[in-house]
Amino acid sequence: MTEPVLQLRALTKSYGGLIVTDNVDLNVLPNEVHALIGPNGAGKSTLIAQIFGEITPDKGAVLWCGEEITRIPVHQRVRKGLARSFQVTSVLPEFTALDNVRLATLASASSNPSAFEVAAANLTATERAQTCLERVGLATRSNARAEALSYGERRHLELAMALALEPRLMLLDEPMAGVGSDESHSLTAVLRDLRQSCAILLVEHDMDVVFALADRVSVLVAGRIVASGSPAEVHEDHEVKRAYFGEEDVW
Amino acid sequence: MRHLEKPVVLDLQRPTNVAARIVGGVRSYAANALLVALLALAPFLFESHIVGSLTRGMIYGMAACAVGFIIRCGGMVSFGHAAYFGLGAYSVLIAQKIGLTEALLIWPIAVLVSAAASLAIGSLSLRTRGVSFIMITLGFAQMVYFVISSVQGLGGADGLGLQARNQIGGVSLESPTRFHFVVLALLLVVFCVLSRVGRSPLGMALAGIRQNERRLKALGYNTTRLQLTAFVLSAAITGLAGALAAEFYLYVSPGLLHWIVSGELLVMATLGGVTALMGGLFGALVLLLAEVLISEFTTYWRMALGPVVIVAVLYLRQGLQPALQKMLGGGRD
Repeated sequence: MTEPVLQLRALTKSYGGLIVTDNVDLNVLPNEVHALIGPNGAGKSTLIAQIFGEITPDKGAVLWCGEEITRIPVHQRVRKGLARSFQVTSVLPEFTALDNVRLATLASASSNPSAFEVAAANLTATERAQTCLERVGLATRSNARAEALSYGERRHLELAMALALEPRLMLLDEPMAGVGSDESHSLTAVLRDLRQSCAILLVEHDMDVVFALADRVSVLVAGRIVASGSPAEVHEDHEVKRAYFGEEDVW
Repeated sequence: MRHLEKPVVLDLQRPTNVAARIVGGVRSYAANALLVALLALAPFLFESHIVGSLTRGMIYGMAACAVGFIIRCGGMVSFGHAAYFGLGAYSVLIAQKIGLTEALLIWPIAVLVSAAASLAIGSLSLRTRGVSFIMITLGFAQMVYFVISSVQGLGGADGLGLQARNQIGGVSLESPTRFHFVVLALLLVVFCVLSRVGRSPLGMALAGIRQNERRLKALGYNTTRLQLTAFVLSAAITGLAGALAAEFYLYVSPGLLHWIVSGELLVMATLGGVTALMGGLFGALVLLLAEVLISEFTTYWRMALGPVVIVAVLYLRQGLQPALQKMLGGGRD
């Protein structure tokens, strides 16, 4: 059996009396798309933040290829091959699209950014950034400032930045949030392309997207994983229907 | 090979663009170029007391540019740069007390002392962000102020005079004109360094941190360490400016360490424009010009400072340098 890139072991986090992550076990295999679904407030974003290192769990462990990374800082996790996108679009508004991605390619080129090289003169980084923009379909917008891009374009840009890090696992926190149906189609196509290069842990509300992409689905309710399995299995699971969707089948 | 969207570097390699680039370059740097030309010609054009004011303006301008640099690159508002300014000045005093007279030795020492202090203070202060960072840098600077003003050997609260201006490579700096040119030359070196760093991958990352630090972390940058690097560079430059201030006044007192200096440097940087490389210099010169003009009429010249800053913030937004740049028809630098 292949070793998972990411394993969560009995991860627990609470804020005062509120348990936001309750004994979560989860793993992501290489080249797998693992979708994490659950109602609002289930603790999906908090879980992603713990995997990424922005929030420290109270108990349990995060394992990266078998190695414990529970308490190492964000930037070291990124160096190991973990990347994330944000639920609320998070790009650098004053930079051009190309510069946004170039920051990512420069980061992956060297852990210590040089102070005396001219950034624009690094042709390798520039070319790689351009390739990433092409892959998400933003090549023609590379010289536009990020603040001038449309909302959907910024979502694409965010994926290009994650892609430029050449990660082994991408944490995508609702990549479709707030985009129209046209953009949603093109984003799904981009995600389908991304899964060729890395494993993905996908938090998403849009069930069409989840069913189109996911190999496995886990359902998080009130901080606990209540079901996990293939999309079809999860769809049929009674507990899921009761806890998440009510008794009626809304799918 | 894929078609590239013409990054600027590719344009540079085309000889046909050279002429256009030079014209474009002169236009976009017109305000800076005019100011530097004015400073270079000042000793031939003006009376000595005006030249002296300009020398002083360049010294404070150098420190203000360093303060502006870490706002632009790194998003750090430091309210404690008086510490590095003063430490640079006191380094000159102490060096002279132990018998050194060579500026080429003393000034680098001043730079190192300020850099070392900022490494310690910065690594503690950078555990915080925003308003806490402003207050903690102020707190550390005040500690430096009280410690040094209580050392009797350094003149205590009154300070001490220098015996004479140090020599540079054995050449005397007693002539105000010569000193003026040395300060100008160092200022240009500082601009070259800051401009180069600003365009480097480090500078890009620092500008990114100002816009969205969380995003930069998510790209794998150790943001705190990068900010510390910029903070130390800024303090080192401020230390050099402090050393030059000691040479200029030939007197070193705790006044150079006082938090009012930190405040003035911030005002100069903001007035001139933090988005611009040379903003701090514009701010410092305008402020000193205001001081010279208004103090002809009243000793309460500081009263005019408030309105000047308010008007500048209301009408110039980005600051003086970008406004002048626009007037002269160039782009932003």
